[in-house]
Amino acid sequence: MSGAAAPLAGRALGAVVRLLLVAALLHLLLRMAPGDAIDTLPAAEAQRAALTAAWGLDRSLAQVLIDLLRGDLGESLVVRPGQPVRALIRDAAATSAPLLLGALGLSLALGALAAARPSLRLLLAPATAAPAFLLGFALISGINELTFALIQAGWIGPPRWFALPDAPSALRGALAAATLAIGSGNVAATSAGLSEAWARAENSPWAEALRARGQPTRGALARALIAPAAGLIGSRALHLIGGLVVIEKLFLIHGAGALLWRAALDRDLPLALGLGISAAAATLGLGLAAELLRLAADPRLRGAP
Amino acid sequence: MRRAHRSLRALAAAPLCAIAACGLVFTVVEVDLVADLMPGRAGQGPSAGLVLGADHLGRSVGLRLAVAAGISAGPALLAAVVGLGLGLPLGAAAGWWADARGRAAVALTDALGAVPAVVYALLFALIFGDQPRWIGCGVGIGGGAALARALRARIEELRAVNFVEASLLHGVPAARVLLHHLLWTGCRRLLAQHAVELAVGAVLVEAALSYIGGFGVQEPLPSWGNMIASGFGQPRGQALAWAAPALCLLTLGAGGAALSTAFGQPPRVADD
Amino acid sequence: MPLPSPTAAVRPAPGARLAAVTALLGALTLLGAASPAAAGPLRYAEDQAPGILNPLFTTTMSEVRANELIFEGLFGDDRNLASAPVLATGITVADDRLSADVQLRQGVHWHDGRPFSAEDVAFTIRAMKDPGTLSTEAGRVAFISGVEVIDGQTLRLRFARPEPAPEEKLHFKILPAHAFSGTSVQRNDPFRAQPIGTGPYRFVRFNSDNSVTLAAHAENRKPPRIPEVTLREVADKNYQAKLLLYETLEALVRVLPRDLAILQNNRGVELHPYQTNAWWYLGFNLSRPTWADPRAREALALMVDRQALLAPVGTGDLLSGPFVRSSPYYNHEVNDWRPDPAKAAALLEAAGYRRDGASWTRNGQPLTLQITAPKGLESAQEVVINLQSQLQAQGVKVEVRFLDEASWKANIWRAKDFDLVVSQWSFDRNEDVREQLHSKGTRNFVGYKNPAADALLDKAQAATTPAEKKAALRELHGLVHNDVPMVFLWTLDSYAAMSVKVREVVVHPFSFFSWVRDWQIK
Repeated sequence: MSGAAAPLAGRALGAVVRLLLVAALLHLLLRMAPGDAIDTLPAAEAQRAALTAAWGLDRSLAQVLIDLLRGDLGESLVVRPGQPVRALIRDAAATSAPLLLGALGLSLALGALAAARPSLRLLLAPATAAPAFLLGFALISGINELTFALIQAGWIGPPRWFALPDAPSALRGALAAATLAIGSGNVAATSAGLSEAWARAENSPWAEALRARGQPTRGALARALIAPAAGLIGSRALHLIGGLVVIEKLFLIHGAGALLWRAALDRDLPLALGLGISAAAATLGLGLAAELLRLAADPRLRGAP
Repeated sequence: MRRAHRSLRALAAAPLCAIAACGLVFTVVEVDLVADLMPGRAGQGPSAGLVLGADHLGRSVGLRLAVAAGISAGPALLAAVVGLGLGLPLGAAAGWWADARGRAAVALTDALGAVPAVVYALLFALIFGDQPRWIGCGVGIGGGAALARALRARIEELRAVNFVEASLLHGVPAARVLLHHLLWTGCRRLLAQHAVELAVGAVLVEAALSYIGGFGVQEPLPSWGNMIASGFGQPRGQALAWAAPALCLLTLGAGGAALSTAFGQPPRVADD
Repeated sequence: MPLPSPTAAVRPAPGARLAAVTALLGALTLLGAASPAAAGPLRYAEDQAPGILNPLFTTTMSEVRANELIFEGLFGDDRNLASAPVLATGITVADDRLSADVQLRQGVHWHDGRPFSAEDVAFTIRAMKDPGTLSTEAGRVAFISGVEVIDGQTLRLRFARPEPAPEEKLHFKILPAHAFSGTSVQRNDPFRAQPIGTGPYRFVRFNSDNSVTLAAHAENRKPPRIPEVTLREVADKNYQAKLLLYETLEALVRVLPRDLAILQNNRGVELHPYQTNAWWYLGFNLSRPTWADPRAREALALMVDRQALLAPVGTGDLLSGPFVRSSPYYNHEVNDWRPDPAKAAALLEAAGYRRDGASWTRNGQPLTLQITAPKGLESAQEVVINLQSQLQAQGVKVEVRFLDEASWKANIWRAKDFDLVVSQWSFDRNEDVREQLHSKGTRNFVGYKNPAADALLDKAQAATTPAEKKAALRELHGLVHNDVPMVFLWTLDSYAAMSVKVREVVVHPFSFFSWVRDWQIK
């Protein structure tokens, strides 16, 4: 068992090193932006020195990294003054995670369907070619304008979900997840990946052997898709996490993406840094989970370096 | 059959080529966008002199579409250059060296690739607020990491192929093997595919940021994204003011996807 | 409201697809109809939810409005915008006007049930003045040099210089002393997220969608008639009007000009006009040689057709000086600028410029101008684009730049990297322009320096009678108009929009909710 623990520990250490690199890069980029958090307050110029010290805006990169290593993400400066960044991220992630996981699942499911049925792929083609923001814009505006017209015509009364980016609702969340899953070529990528894996499995010697022996191949082929699907999760996660920033702004969802947008505009350094690192951690974490799933699904990969 | 493939590919490349052409034209020809503002023609539909009509402020939609394409050429080019400039050495190093150097390249790739391109783009837009081409740099960093990963996998795969080992054993210099056999012969389609994805991705990300506002291209400069945002729902506007840029983005997205698929397909004997 | 059934909602459908869409929409309608918006809370929209509910650290108008619901001052505005007692019952100013005794209202309770007393007022003043607090509001109590609690209901204030009407300056919000451990209060004090006031509404909670729920403060002193108020964050302004039309909101604080027509024509909505103490201006960078020359500035002022700039962004009054037209300090005798291209050209020629084909040049250099505006300023985009067009048509080459808030402060205020800004100043009831126009003013980033203007501002500050202050500021108006450190543009008419269910609405021009106790909801 200890043989398996050593590479895991190595991976964990590697992940920490990578996260520190990310933190350093993001910190430097954020510090390069003109102006700082003090500039977003009115009449604070006289208090600049005191606020700089109180908010730790004069900390060096090394100090920032040491604080991060100790698990101290600091407090938000402007967006939610004084609230611990860790708690803010936790709340925002609770909103964003279902959206992200829903979109991941949906893009895999739709990708599999489209791989199996080329007609569906053709039907989805215009949507998958559109950038997610355009798809979201079309969905929101289309539904709102249609409803608007129906209400004007007296056919229906004003429903509570109108206009769409309003109070949180299952409908809005589902639309956001679907937009994220389909737009910006996500479904196209998953369906291409899956159909390629399917073709490879179908033409493989073991599938031919099964067929030659007159045994059913469907179950074995489906199992053979788990590993490539896991690989796809790893590679699509990054795109979807990035997409969250745009989709959450579009559908007015108060998740991690929208918060990052606010934090960057308000130069809320600790919050923006914390969110950036969390995004990186989520990407690396999902990649690792996908890798484990891939190894579990395909024993041949375990021997590989 | 081959001709059909070729013309399909040319069609797919058309939007990207149009952007490049607009970029070239507008670096030479100076357009007076201010003189184009004529409040009197606000919301006019298409006519002979005004092909796509005018927006709610009375600016020519057609001209703004073209200028926006020209502005997008900057981020597209920068994304491709930064992405290749970053991804090529990182991927080659990670794939070629199996020792500490290779591991360092992998770690750096992972770190750069753990942050979504959109986030980099956002940060660059924040830093260089009034120079939208820097959004391309952000997309390039994110996309460069993806390229490095793909390149590494491909080089590792190719290294196991007999002719590479044979060349090395025959005393062909390692640099030549890497550059000629591996990168040029083995990976040039992959590089082209990523260059296309980077360029298209940069335009789409720039459009998304400009649509939402706060970052990205700022009025009065046009971007396909901010044209949709400012044109839609204007009482004095007309539909083409937002539908035309949306259609452009859709075409670009579809073209980019088709082109990337064409480059991504395993090389057919007839083509290479 | 009776809703048509999904099938009755359409005429015979021509195709199955239409039927499917209709069925879907019908189902959605039924889903949404479960909780009708009957007489309930007053829900109003803000672009951005308040980050902090502590009046010591107010930074946005959304916070000003929320504070107005939760907190009260010693004095407030009556319907004629004259000072009237709120937490005070009266004030007795000493003959030398260097001190005053304030009598406080009895029987007032904080939202947590504790009694309100003179200690709370003294604490608030000390906290605002405490250098450790870093309050953005410290300037409001700079005129108070000392505070002394005489008994639970009486307070003595000492002033730095004679104060003719101290009640005019005693509108700042009072905080509960018992909620803080000392007078040095930090921005991140937990109070920011669990505020306690004496105002008509008590804070209930921050919700996960960034909305804030407030409930009526049940107290014997005239409780508000609307039981609950919800502040909702609707970051996309394009949706605010639609939400009002479809009854998921009852109030909009400020309607976009482009939504005015559609709201005006709707029977379910009533518009309430109000005018804020806010004015737009073009500010020159006086430290740049080009704009240090008053002739160039005046020429530019004469090139601008302000009426044409205003028309696309709303209605309002053009201004000739740094006060709104309804202000007592506005000098109506000052002749306003009118577009005069001929005179502008003469002035530029006098300043050494030459019309060289399409553009003005001096020493071979074309007259170029960079216009900068804040990204967040509503309608600034249209104004800037049209201004660029106007100036360019008259031979001035113009570049345009929009900056977010932090970049604005860094580039404009600190680095002074600009030619001309398009921006807006908002003032509370005191209309104190000192920080903007005094050579030592903290907001004087244009760099205006005129000893005569400084003297008039000093005179206005030291004035012992309202008439004296009025005279000084009117003279200042004329002086600043002639110096042209800025081109004063306009003050915009603002419209609040309310559902007709909300009755007895009168809107305060600055803090909006000052008279909310009288509002009703059907």
